[in-house]
Parts: sequence; C-alpha cells; structure tokens
Amino acid sequence: MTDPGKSMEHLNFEQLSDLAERDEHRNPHVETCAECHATLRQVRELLVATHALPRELPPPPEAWSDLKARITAELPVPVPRARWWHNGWLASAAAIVLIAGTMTLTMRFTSTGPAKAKGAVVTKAIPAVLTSVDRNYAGTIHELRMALDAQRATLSPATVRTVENSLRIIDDAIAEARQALAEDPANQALADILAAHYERQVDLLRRATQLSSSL
Amino acid sequence: MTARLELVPSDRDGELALARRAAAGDDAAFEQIYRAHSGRVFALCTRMSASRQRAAELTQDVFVHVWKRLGTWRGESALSSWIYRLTVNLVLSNVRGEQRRQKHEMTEDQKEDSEEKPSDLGVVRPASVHEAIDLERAIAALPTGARTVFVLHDVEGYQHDEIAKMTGTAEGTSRAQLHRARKLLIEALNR
Repeated sequence: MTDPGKSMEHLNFEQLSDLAERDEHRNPHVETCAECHATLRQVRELLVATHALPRELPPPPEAWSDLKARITAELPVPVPRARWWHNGWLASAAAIVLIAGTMTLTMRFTSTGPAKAKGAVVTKAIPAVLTSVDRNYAGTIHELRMALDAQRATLSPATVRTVENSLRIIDDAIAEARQALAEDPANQALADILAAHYERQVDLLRRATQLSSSL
Repeated sequence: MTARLELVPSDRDGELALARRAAAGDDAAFEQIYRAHSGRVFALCTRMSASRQRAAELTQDVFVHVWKRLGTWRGESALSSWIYRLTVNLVLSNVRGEQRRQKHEMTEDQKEDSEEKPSDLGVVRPASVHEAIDLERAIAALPTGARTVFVLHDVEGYQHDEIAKMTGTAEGTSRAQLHRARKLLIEALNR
C-alpha cells in the first residue's frame, strides 16, 4: 500500500491558499503531508488574524475641522454684494490703485496667464496652501462683514458706494489670486499675494467698522 | 461582495432622509454621516495607502466627494456601501496616479527593485521578530499591488470579479496578487 502523502505531489501555495479560504478541512494529501499541513495552518491563522483586525480606525482629531474648512473653501464664493460706506478715506483712489497693482502682480506670477473667469469656482481639490490661507482670514472677515452690515444704516449712500466698490475690487483680486494659487499651489509668491489681498480686505473692513462706530 | 461588507442599514428610509438633509446643506446631518463612516473610511485608506498621513488626506478627499455627490445617492444600496465604494475608487485612482508619477521618475532598474523589495517602497518593515507579528505593519510593507488586493479581498470582503473591475485588471491577476500577498505576509510574520 502506498503512502498517499508520498504518492501525491505537494500542493503549491496557491492551492493551499484557496483551500484555506474555502475552509476545507479535509484533503487527502494535506492530511498526510506535514509540510502542506503546516502551510495550510499558517494561511488559516493569517486569515483569522486578518478578520480580527479592527474595522475602524479613528481619524486624526483635527480631521473634521479640516474637512469643514475645506468644504467651506470649496463653496462657490458668493460675490459679496458689499453694501456699504464712506467718504474721505475710503474714496482714496490710492487703495484701489494698490489692489489693481497686486492683481497685475498676480497675473505676472501666474505661469498660466490671467485667470480665466472672475470668481470661477475651483472644481478640483483645493490645495492645502489655499485652504490654509483662506482659513486664516475667513473668521475675521466674516465677523467684520457682519458688524459692518449691522452698521450700514449709519453711513451715507456715498460712503456705502465707495466701500462697495472697494470691496468688489478686493474680492475680484482675491478670486483671481485663489484661482491662480489653485492652479499652481507650490507658488509661494501667489500665496503671499493672496494673503496680502486678505490683509487689505481685513484692513478695509476694520477701518469701515471703526468709522461707522464713530459716527 | 461577502456579508462582511454588506452592512445593510436597519433603517434605509432614515438614512435616505439624513442624506437628503445633508445634501441640502444641513451641516449637522453631514457631520452625522461623517462620524458614522469616517472610522471605516480612514481604516480603509490607511491600509490601502500604507500611510496615516496620506490616509488622512484621502479621507478628507472622500468626504469632500461625499459632500458633493450626496444628492446623487438614491438609496439603491446602503449609504455605507456607497461611501466605501467611493473610497476604494478614489484610493485606487490615487494609487494609479502615484504609480504613473513613479514610473515617470524611476529608471527601469529602480522599478524592478521596488517591485521585488517591499522595503524599497518607503514603508516600514517590522524591525524585529516580535514586531513582525504586527499584522498591520506587515500589510503596510506589502508591494502596492499585493497590498491593494489583500486589503480589498481579505479585509474588506470584495470578490475577485469586483476587484478586477475596480482595478482594471483580470480576475487571474487579482488571485495571483492575493496569493502573493498572503505568502509575503506569512514570511514577514515568521521572520
């Protein structure tokens, strides 16, 4: 009588792996071959250990806030219907010239040329640098806009028109810089320009709220 | 797909209502969906990408996609299945992009090395025999193709025909990668 373990060829790893997956306990060769039996046992142990792995792993604690910030940044940027303010200082053409100048700078630093459309929504993934710059200013700008909106009635129509025009120009510059940075996220100069536009917007809003408060 | 992944919700109508609220801009509803599924999505991204940092980025990408597309989910399948399938597609797309980039950057010799030596992929190889029993780390050290199929099949419960469709390969390739992964893992755990 022949020894089946010796008369049959060893099973290859693929065959043993399939056997383990099908959870077949009886195989004429494996039952008599210590080597194949050991391999089959190892595959089964691996599968048991794999199925015991945790189904969930906690994401980093900041993941939700990061996600919210990114979604906020990806929302279509409403062209702010800035509805405000003042005479003397805000009418200063210098501020407008400054912004117009930086818009030119944005185009110069943009390898792909001028932005294609004002305020266009960036549909591809927002680069981290863009999200980061947006996040730095979003809260402050929102609060200042709310404050200014609440004080609008205290300002003259001429002031309101001036502030509206100024904010529109800055918003256009921001939209242009955002689009340029989205297309070239590694361009630090563009990130700096975007941050500078935001700074100017914050400055404008601060001055406008202070002015309306003082009236 | 096996029963392991078929997490049919007990209340599909409630899930659909929640999704509709989130799609309509209800932040609390969207956060509820995120809290319910982010752990599973992050685990899948971590195992498939072999990097927690990359997994965090991918998880964010997944939920941005979920946020954008939630309005298209009609409840034909469980929300969980829809989200996990979206996760797999996004991670695979990322892997393909990364492979194209590496292919472009590497010489033929380097390519050959990286295919044969998991440690050359930049992931951590278990440092000692005791650490080798850390299955997660051993999975992370697998070559990309083998790791992808192993995670999809043995961890997530997808079948070879589904994996073949998702990865754009033949079923036989999926089977071969699975056996290769199991063999490498056993070797790593016995080392």
